[in-house]
Amino acid sequence: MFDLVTRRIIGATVLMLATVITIGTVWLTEEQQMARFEAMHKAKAIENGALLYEQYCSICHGPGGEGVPGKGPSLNPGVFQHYEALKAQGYANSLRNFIKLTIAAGRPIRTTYRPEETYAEAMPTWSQDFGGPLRPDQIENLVEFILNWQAAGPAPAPTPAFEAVGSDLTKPLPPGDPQRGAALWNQEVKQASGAAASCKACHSLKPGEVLVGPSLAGIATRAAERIKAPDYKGQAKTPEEYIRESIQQPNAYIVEPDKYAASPGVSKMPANLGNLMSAQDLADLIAFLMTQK
Amino acid sequence: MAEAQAVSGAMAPGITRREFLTYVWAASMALFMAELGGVSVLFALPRFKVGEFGGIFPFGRAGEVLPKVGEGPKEYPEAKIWLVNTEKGILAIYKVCTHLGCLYKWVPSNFRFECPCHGSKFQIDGTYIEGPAPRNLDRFVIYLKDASGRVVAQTDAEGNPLPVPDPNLTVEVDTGKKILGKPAQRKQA
Amino acid sequence: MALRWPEPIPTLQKEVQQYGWRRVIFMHLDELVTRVTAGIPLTEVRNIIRGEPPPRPNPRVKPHTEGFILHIKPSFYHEAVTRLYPTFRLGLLSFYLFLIETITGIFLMIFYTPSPLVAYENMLRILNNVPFGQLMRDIHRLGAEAMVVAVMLHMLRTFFTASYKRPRQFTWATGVILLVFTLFLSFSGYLLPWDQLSYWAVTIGTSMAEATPPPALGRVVNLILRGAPDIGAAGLLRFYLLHVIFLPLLLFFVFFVHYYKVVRHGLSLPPEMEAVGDDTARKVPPEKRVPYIPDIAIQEALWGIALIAFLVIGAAFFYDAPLEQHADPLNTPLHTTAPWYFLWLQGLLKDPFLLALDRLGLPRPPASIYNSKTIMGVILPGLILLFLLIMPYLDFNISRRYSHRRKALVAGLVGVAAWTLLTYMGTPAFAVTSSADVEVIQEFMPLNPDPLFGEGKVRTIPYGQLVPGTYDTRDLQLPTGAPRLARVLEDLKARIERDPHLPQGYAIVRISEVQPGLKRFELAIYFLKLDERHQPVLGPDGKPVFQETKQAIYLHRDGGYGGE
Repeated sequence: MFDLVTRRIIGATVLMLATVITIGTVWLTEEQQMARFEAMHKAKAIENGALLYEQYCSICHGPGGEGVPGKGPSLNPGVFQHYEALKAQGYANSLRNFIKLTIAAGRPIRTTYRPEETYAEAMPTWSQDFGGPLRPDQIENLVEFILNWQAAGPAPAPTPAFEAVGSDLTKPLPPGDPQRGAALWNQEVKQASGAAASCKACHSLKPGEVLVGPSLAGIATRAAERIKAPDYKGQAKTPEEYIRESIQQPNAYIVEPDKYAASPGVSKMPANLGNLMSAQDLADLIAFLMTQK
Repeated sequence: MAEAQAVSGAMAPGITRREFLTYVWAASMALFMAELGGVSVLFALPRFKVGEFGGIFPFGRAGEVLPKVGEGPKEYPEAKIWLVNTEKGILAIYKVCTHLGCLYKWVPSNFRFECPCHGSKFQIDGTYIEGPAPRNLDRFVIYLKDASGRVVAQTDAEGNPLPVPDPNLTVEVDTGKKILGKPAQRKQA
Repeated sequence: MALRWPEPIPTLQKEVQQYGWRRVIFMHLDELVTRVTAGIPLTEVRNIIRGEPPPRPNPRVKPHTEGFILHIKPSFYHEAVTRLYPTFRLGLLSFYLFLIETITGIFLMIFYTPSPLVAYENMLRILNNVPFGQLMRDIHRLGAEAMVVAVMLHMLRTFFTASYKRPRQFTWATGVILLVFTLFLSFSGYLLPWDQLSYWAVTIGTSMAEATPPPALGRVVNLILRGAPDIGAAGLLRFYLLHVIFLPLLLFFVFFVHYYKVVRHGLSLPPEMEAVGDDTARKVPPEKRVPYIPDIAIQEALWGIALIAFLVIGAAFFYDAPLEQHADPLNTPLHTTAPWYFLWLQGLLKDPFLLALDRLGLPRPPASIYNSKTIMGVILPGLILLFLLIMPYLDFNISRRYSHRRKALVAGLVGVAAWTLLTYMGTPAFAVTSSADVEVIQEFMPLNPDPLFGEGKVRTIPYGQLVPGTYDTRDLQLPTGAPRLARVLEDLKARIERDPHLPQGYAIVRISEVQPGLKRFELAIYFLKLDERHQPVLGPDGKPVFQETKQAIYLHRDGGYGGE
């Protein structure tokens, strides 16, 4: 019916129109497509950030960003509250940049922006720009992950009312239960404040293993020796009292200050741990530690 | 003779089927090229995300970000604007001189903008005072949004100062929408 | 039938008075068209469109002598080479693809900066904030793959129809060089997105260069190519320059040498049409001539449009250029491969090559030769390349007839088969296995898209079906209302239980919501620990010890999983 050339012309026209229609289809859906990609790329950034958080951050800031007392402050909602407080003092940078900077460049001091909160170690630098292990895109992913908490709105758990032992060494303690002490140590039960006890974040129970503070293997035996040592300056008379003093007033006596002092006379161990536990918690923990002969 | 034939040949009315199909084909290719033109323009045309110059800058609560009436302007370098608050309303003035593109400065002692290159001077609302500049300073469109993100008010097409009815509204400046200043009213010498 | 202006040279006004405005417009238009087409008047253009035969003398050959674009094209082809066989128009397609790659490449360059700090971000931006960015990138990538295929097939076709024989040996040699340039052009573009796929594929590829003998030279070649001992900012910039300027310029230059030779010698006729030893491509009898204008021109336009349609429709609906995670120089993903056209080299370098030789009853090469990356990865491919280059000069069989070339044809087919086998051996499906537990995790939830398993089955579960909970494959309690999750869990159970390397294996899957819209999917695999004698290792309590392997991934609501 058609000769060869005509067939070719018809074929070329059909293919050309098919191309035009295809591009037209892409044209019509391009805006949604780009928006979809944008959401997807952000989702991937959050996923990557979550993996990085689990790997690098959760040890000190807790798997859910709730913080680890003595080791790292709360991020959810802590970091957002900090930012609000800073902004009230005239800090002009954005929340995103605040988080990014803190991750990338770390913090020079062991306190948070609230001076009464002190931690065992300062936040290290994470960006490769400052000698850390993470690439700039990984820092961005972490920031996306942390900001994603805010997207949901911070929902801080109400702190239960309780009487904290604080740093008062004279308050009488109830009889301690080593079983519950072990559960506290292993974070199977919570302290009266609702926060998990953070001892094992810095202290190992394996002999000789130093995480941040010294290993507590055999602490009951050692505590008895310590109080008799000539350089001991504390007030403890029994091993139990020595352990109690170490928890409530870590600066009273610092073993091997070159290793465990953050600055002269100031232990790396936070001084505010007593604020998170009741007398019963403290007694149970001491009872547990006294089993470590 | 040959020329006459040529003319009539080229304008002969009869269109063969193949000729017709060829024209259809040519039309489809023309359509394709036109579409490619559109695609190329859209592809190469830059798009600005929020916070990039050329896009929208959300600055925050009007009560916090605006300078007070009677105070000097507030500079936002990343948006390339001066935020100005006058009795009539607020303005987002493009920080580039309308003369030859220098960045003018705010001179507090004279309470006016002065350009360091050729000495053009402008009032705080961007109105031309003197110098070689051809027109008043350019402005960007400001949006005032409420908590739900609805635009309550925006700068009109003339670029007049925008009154702020409520300090809780959010100020956003669209640096993609520039309104040229009115021609300079030169004083008669 | 050229129109002549009457003397003396008239003014426009006089012309109109003399001829009338219709004719004046026609004359000027005719003049314009004749100039633009380099010699074809308007009336003749219409005759061409109508398919009328050309007048004598034929003005349709004028563009071939007067015009720039057509001066390199023949004004007629032998009727026998205008069909699909014998050329398949593969050379033309390769050239078209080069043009399309150039144009789409220039468009992509608008939004690309060759720096490790921003290259990946640029790719994301092209996808999420540039209209038609994804289409442009997909066409560029699809076109690159198609160009490699077209050039390879072009070479095979030339071999099988014996078109490389005298006098076209040099044309073949330039063609081999073009093939090499095409491969390197495609390979150099591989690195630019700066994702895990590109980074490690190029690391593998450039490691070959390091094996160039002698070792001192290999180090120098490697340093020049990468700009550093490993690939970083300098390497990316070098690959970018190779990709956008150096290699295209070289390819363009060699292409013209190649094509000039093609036209000079004429397109070789199908082998059976000529007497043995004859080359009659240039002696086309008048009745066999098919003029370039319009017949061949329409045909070539059709091919061009068909190619554009293939690329656009393919890229829009069927093909997405891969983009994996950001390049991580500290972490090589499992199952990393070179690009497919270099897989045969990978196959050569794998130990199981020896097993294949054993199975075929062929002697093993000495270990000193075989284990050397230099010999197997550089010298042997170099020799193959050299052989390809000079092959036509070594072929003393003057006949192009298929029946006279049995050995050559068999050798060619064996070559293709060997290439295919080596390519298969180069894929991670062949002899790159990690431990069985790691393989299961890679199969179900790789951290980075895997060449064999894609994104993994876990990511085919729609977000809404990820019901938080703990699922133990020993006692599978399937969640209700989550059919896809149930399917994956059942697949996982079957996969682990049938794996002989996972004795008494089971898995525990834990799904939890860590943030609104973000879930954690943890897969823990347990299996009996066996000693060397394949006996279960017993713990201190006398019970067999189970080994544990655990891995978690995070899945976001907007991640686009499960086709959402």
